[in-house]
Amino acid sequence: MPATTKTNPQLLFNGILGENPIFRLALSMCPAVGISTTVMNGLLLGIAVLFVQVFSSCTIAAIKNHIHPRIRIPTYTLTIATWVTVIDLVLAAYVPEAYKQMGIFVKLIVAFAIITMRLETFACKNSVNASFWDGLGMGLGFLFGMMALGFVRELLGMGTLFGYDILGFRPLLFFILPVAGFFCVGFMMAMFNYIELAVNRKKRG
Amino acid sequence: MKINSRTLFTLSALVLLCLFLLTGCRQEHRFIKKTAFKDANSIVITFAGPVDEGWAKDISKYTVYEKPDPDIKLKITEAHLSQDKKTVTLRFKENLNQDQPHMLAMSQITSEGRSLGSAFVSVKKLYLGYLFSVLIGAMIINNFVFAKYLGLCVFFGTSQKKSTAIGMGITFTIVMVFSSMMAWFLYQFVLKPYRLDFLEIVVFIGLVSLSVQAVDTILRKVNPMLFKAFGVYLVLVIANCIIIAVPLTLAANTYNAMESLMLAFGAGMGFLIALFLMSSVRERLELANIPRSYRGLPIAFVVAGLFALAFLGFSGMSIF
Amino acid sequence: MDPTLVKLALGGLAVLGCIGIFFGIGLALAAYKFAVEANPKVEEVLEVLAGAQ
Repeated sequence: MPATTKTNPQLLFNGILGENPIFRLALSMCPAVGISTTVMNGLLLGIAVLFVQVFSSCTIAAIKNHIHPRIRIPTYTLTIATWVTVIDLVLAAYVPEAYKQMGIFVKLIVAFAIITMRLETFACKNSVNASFWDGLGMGLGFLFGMMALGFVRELLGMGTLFGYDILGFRPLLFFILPVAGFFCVGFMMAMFNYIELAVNRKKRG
Repeated sequence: MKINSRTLFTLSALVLLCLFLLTGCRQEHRFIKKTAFKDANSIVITFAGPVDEGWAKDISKYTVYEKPDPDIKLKITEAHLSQDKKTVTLRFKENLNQDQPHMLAMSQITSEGRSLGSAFVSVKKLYLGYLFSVLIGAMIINNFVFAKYLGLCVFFGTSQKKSTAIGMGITFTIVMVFSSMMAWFLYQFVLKPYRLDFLEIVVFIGLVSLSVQAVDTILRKVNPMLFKAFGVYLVLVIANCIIIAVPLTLAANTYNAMESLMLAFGAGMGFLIALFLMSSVRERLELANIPRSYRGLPIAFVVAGLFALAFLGFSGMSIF
Repeated sequence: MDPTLVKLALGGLAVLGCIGIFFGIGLALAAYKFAVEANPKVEEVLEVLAGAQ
């Protein structure tokens, strides 16, 4: 892939809609299944991923000319690990309760395929500026995906949003179970596919 | 790479049978669920139902001695009943020699006014059994894929064919055992003593990359055939959350070397089992008539959800 | 700056550096000992194909 020709807003929306990490690229599914039980969890982990993605993209874009191609992947991994350590310590210090709920997942950001993938396909070929917008778009795409899943699961499972009571009753308690994450992601992916198929059919007339 | 699926099935059935036999043998009295050592000088007895306080607190009802010399009765200083009246902790005057099995006799157990007769049970530390329980725990009860929801990207990516699934599982287990043991060693002897545990993520992921690179380099030369079969999966190992989750779990808990080895091996085998189960179903799915919008990943997610529900049945199970 | 923090940072640097050097040399030796004569043409072809996984 040569250097991108897209403008900054295009890069931003590419991450949110065109190549949404969760529903389109189907990468980093572990947190999408494991801890998307509430909107708040989705939001916090989304922010953490956004931070790591933006900063690692910028770092790699800045030093891309000094990396020997043979040790490319280890360099990416260590860069990500550094930024994950930073956000891990920050979250543990400032929001200890939410951090405890997310458990091991904050540390596991280091193994999320989406971040390495963006560094490999985008940041190592583009300027710092473009990488920043791409990272921001991808991070936001992940954040919105997680929040959408959390929204559905919290509303259907508990009848609440952000902990506030909305419905007053619990329509489908099953959705709050961690296991329901698999079903929820499966159903939402099928829904996206269905809409895409319907739109394509309409286009063809 | 061809493994007869019937052989595998028979093997797993045998292992499960042994498990049930082993768990069945331990039951010595129908009202006593478990007996175990605690701390240096206590024994914990867990009952199936609540026992009467008057009976439980009376230390003359208990007789404890070491199995080889029944004449020397050990001195009990206190019998403590828990809040839910189901566990009794016996405290002894002197420290117990936990390497010896102890015999414990209880006379006239009363539960809710009814007498349940006397019980005669043994208390022993089964280290091998404990190791085995760590292994089975990581492999089945807390299966990293179906019970902890980790490693899903690689799980869905490589579970389309049985041969791919087995290749990935084996490669993963080998790298997992190597890197976790190195990580455990470094954490216990370098990072922890020098209070550098905040560097754990950087060090652990570095070790994973290193082991992958080392296995890659050596395998390429030593056994090119094997490299051709398994080389493609090596890169995928780094992208798997489980490979970093296991060292982090080891660092957060106090496991010793043997237990760490068992946990890492169990996690790898659990991943292999999950992949094998999933690929068996997905090979059938190829032929099934599925609605168009569900084809590919969505139906795979639903199948994984059903597997996870099934694995939920193992939760809370304890073996020893 | 707090001297304990400086100590911690220097210790971290030293430990990471040592691990890096140790394993770096190890891997380099392994790569040297188990070297495989790579066909330069293969790499050229891969270079052209890169990105397509």
